[in-house]
Amino acid sequence: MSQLRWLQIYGLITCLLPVGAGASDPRTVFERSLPRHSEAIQIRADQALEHTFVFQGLSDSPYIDVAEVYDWNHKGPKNDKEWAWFLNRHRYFEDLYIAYLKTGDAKYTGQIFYILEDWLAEHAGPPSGMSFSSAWRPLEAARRVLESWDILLVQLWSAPQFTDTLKASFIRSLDHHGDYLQNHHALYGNHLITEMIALLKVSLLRPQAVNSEAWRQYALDKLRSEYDKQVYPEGAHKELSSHYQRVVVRNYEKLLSLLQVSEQTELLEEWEPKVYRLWEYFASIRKPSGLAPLNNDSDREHVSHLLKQYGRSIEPSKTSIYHPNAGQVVFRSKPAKGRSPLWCFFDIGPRGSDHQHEDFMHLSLSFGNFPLLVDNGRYTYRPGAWRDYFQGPRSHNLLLIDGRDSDPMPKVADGPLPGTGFYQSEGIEAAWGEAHFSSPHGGRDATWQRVVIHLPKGHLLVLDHVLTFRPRQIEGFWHSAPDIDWSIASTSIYASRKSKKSRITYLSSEGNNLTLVQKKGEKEPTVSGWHSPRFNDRKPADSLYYSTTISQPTAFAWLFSNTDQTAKLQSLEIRSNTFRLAYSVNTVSFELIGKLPNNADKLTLKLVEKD
Amino acid sequence: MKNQMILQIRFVAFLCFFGGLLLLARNLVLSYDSFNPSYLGHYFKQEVLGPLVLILGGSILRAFAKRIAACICKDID
Repeated sequence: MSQLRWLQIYGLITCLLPVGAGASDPRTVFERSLPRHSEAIQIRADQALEHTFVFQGLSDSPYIDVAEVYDWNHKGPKNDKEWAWFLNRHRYFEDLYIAYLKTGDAKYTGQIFYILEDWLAEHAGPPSGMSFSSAWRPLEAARRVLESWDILLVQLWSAPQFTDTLKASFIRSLDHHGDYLQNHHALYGNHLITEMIALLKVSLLRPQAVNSEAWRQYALDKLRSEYDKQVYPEGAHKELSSHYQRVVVRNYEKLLSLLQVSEQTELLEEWEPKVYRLWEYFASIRKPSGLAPLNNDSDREHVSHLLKQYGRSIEPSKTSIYHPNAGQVVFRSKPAKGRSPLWCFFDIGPRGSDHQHEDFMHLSLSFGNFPLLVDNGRYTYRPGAWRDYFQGPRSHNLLLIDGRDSDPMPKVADGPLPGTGFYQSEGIEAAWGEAHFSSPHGGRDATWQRVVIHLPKGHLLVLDHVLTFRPRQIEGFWHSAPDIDWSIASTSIYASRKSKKSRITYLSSEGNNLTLVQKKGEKEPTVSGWHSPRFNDRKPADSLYYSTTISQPTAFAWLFSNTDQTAKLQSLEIRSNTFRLAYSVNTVSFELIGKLPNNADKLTLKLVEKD
Repeated sequence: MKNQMILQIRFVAFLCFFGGLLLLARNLVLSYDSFNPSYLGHYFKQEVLGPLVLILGGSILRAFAKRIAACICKDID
């Protein structure tokens, strides 16, 4: 049935085509809507006329004036291969085309054909194997098909500047793209999904190509098997990065659009709930502001805007949620008079199948739109001090022991990791994880248990229990967003932005004095106190670095009070895995008694209000 | 040939055994004042287990040195 339908479309499209032209019906294959003309698009189009392009915030020109050609391997102002890859995606064709639609000026389309001709002259055919070159990394081939070349085939086919010779070269190259994507695609990850969507699109754009049906079948089979391999049952893409969750969900939306325009109703019904699951997960982790956490290699993405853009109405969750395979806990409190809703993202899961950061047991925390604790993003993929910082433990809210990070977790998981879990009862919720620190000489130096407890009235308690029997240097970090200021008072720390303020108090079970240091935008002796909202963009951000030396099992408690309230820690005792903690909120005192999980045990907690 | 092999295996076994003992002694000296019976399990895993594995490995190697040597030298002499 499915194959028959495709053959019908094939027949319909080929009937509509001029012989040998390779064009097809725009209503059938142009599945996306172009953005509306804007000032930003016009600026980018005018820059493209001058052979200047901005990729990931970096502007440069690959044009060689003397030879009047492009250097397609030009790596931009930072000599970064990412820039060359973006150059070869031809995304700027879209800007030029939109500027042409707005102004009617043929110089914009003329520039598209000028660039296309130059690119085709330089890249007559794909390499014989998988390539990571600027032009023929499979992802770039896929992006050309998905984001730029469809405009040429569908929207500009009749343009007078599109000569027959250029059309012939273009069609030949498009068919090469189909064969190349089928035979030399990525082996796994989000790239593979993008490449298979592109392969499906080539099969639709070129139904008359000899291999068109093979491309379509291969792409659909691969997309189905990769969804099962790459997506956890809760809808999280296994790279566990908000940015790549966005990439993947948008790609699968594109699949739905392609299935819709080709009237593949059966496949559409099969895929719709799968794509919805990706959105549901994405919506479940968003902050009250609508933004996603910057877990692993991520940028500041606005999930609520994306949901709106794709017409998905998923109401913001009002309760906490635990994703056991992804190993993520999102604590939420309801808004109430005088306090903002709490949102806390606690990572107790696998590292992620790719784009990993060293962030096991990192937590991000917001009170309403007040981002008190954050993940610092990705900034760059170039190896060096900056990559080490943003990818490493020092840009996350973690502990180091003797300067070392905890042992790495597995990349993927099938259920909760050992030593992790989630606890929920009336009025109190908690999640926990356990990490080990191996000695460079073999054996184990220490064990670190972190329990994050969501207290009533939207306060958050973090309990770090470090088990060691030798003198060890403990270092820890609390990072906040760039517009938050920290100030250290005698027994408290304050984080503030304009009129919003949060009080943080801390205690150690053994009475250790913590050395507290504020760092902001430091490059020497080590990179410290930086935040990256998006790739290639970094900002100085206040961070709190604390350190102490312990020589026996010790617990540290941190109480983050909600904006308008003053919660304060009073005492902390711990013996083996049983702890007793007292704190007060304004004039009311509470006692929290708990038993930390040991081996397969679960956490137990009891909160009592003291007279 | 075989006797020489036995000697070499016994020497390695001795190094493992003695090294394990030294490591255990070092760990106990460095951590005895932090010992707390409440954390017995963690203490054992961090301070005792590693050297114990080395000592046991050395002992097993010593006990089976002749058989191992015979196995290695089979069809050579």
